[in-house]
Amino acid sequence: MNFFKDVLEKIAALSTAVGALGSNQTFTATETEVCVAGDVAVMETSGGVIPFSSLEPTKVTEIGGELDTVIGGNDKDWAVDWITDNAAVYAYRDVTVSNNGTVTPVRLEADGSTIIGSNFIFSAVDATTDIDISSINNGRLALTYVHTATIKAKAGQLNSETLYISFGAEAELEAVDSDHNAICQTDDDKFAVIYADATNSDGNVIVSTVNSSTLAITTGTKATVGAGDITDISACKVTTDKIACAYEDQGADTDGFSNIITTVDIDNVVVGNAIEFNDAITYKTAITALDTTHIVIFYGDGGDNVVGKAICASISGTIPTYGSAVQLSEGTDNALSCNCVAINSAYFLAVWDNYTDGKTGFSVSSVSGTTITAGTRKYLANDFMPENIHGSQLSINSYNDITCFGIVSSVTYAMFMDVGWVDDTLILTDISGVVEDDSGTIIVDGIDEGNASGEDSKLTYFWDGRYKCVRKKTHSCQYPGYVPRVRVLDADCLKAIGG
Amino acid sequence: MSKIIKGKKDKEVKFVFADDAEIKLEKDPLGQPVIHIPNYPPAKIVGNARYLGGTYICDHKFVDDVEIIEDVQNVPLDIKDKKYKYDKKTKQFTPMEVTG
Repeated sequence: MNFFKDVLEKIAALSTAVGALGSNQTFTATETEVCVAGDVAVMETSGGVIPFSSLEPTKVTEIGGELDTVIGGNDKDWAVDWITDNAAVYAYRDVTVSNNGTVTPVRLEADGSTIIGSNFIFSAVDATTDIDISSINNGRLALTYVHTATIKAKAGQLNSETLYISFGAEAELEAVDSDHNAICQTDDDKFAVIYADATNSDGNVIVSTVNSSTLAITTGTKATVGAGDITDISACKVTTDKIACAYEDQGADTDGFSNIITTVDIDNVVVGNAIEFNDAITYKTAITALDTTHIVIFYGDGGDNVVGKAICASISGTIPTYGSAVQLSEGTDNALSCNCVAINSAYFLAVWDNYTDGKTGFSVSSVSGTTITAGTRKYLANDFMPENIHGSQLSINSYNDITCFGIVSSVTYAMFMDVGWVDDTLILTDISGVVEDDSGTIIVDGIDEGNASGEDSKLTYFWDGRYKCVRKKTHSCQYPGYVPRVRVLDADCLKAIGG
Repeated sequence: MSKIIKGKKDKEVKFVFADDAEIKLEKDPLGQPVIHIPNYPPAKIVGNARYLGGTYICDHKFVDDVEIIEDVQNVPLDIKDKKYKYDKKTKQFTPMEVTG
């Protein structure tokens, strides 16, 4: 009740500002049903209103078209991560240029357009394989890759304005061949690489630090992960100096296992007990941390038609305790290339390749405790996902923009998604004008979150999932495909103000 | 004619570029050597995307071990698969005899 009281007080305080509606500051929403206090009315791009009761709790939309931005050819072994708030770096084996290890930065502009940087060949060795990338904060990135039967790592510094990337010296993690690895940040300028040692048929983790000036890497002492050879590895940071990993353990009936690893001392990494999350052959794991004590793993369950399933664990110390697995993909079709990313502590996005039907599915699921409620299955317009990608395809920045790169007809596309909204209480202030016309149209003017003095208020009708106005990205933007919304706190009250 | 990037020691042809490719040896902000090919691929605007273009070879060890040769008269298409000898005077590749 205090919430509504506060809002009414704010509206009342601003009522003196009600005046004629300028045409460039008018938002028109056609009521399709009566709005009551607390409702969210979502403006469709066609002009209609979706009432709160019909909304999904979280919506993810594509920014522009899926095939708008070509970023590569039929690249292999690729992964992508946001390195700064507006620039992501795409890392890949460039099949068209001698299988070199290459990165290409891409900056997402406020209007939804992209600027693609130069190609930076960080490993000119034919072939550089098994590439994965992670932000290590402050515009710096870490790469892991394999060439000449050796696990390597290299750090880089991205200038998000010029899109130039400087690299430090290549570091050798271990002189063993590997066909699966994963990298994740553990702290600023600190990262972990979990890799399969194909030479000795086991798995390991090595934590390294990066000199912020020289970008030189100092490698720590390796520790064992898994009972035998491990594959389909994924890793994520849970909190500072604590990471989680998931993998198929070929030394334990090819079942799905996970570990929580603490990385305070790079020469004394503590690997928690391997905990099984899937008692069957497990394909292409993806892992994401919802918060500092919860992780979600998305994987193909080989014991159940390779259905894509998600499972959540709470973490205490280095022990994950799992809830029940929940089916996210279709029931009978092979789900490959499972990928997932946390939107916040209660929602995550999952994307998978429906190999059987040749289409790419995605859903936003919710989590309470360790209980997952599967989101509505949706599909991209194109069969976007390659059958198997190496590293993480999805990453999210502070604006809730999500990378979702894919390949169609041997061309790699940089596609971005945006969390249109996460349902929650959003207090709008500075409402300067509300009227209702004869046909029942409610016209609201000047809605603002309260910190935009002098700015064009019509832009404040667009919100991202962290309840920040899109204007924050820059003042004059509107993402293509962005669905505007306006919250009507109390329609009758607003009408009264408008007179 | 072509431009090539060739190993100083192993003599292997690493990259082949058209004659109009500009190949520059530069230093990155950390003072490390990089090879910059600013017009490969060229800058362009396609739809909603702007491509800055260009390629940087930032494998410092690689850059230290190669040389840039311009005005090469011929570059065999199968140079990656067969052994060729490069004649510095004529700036041409000739097949090497394979024995055994």
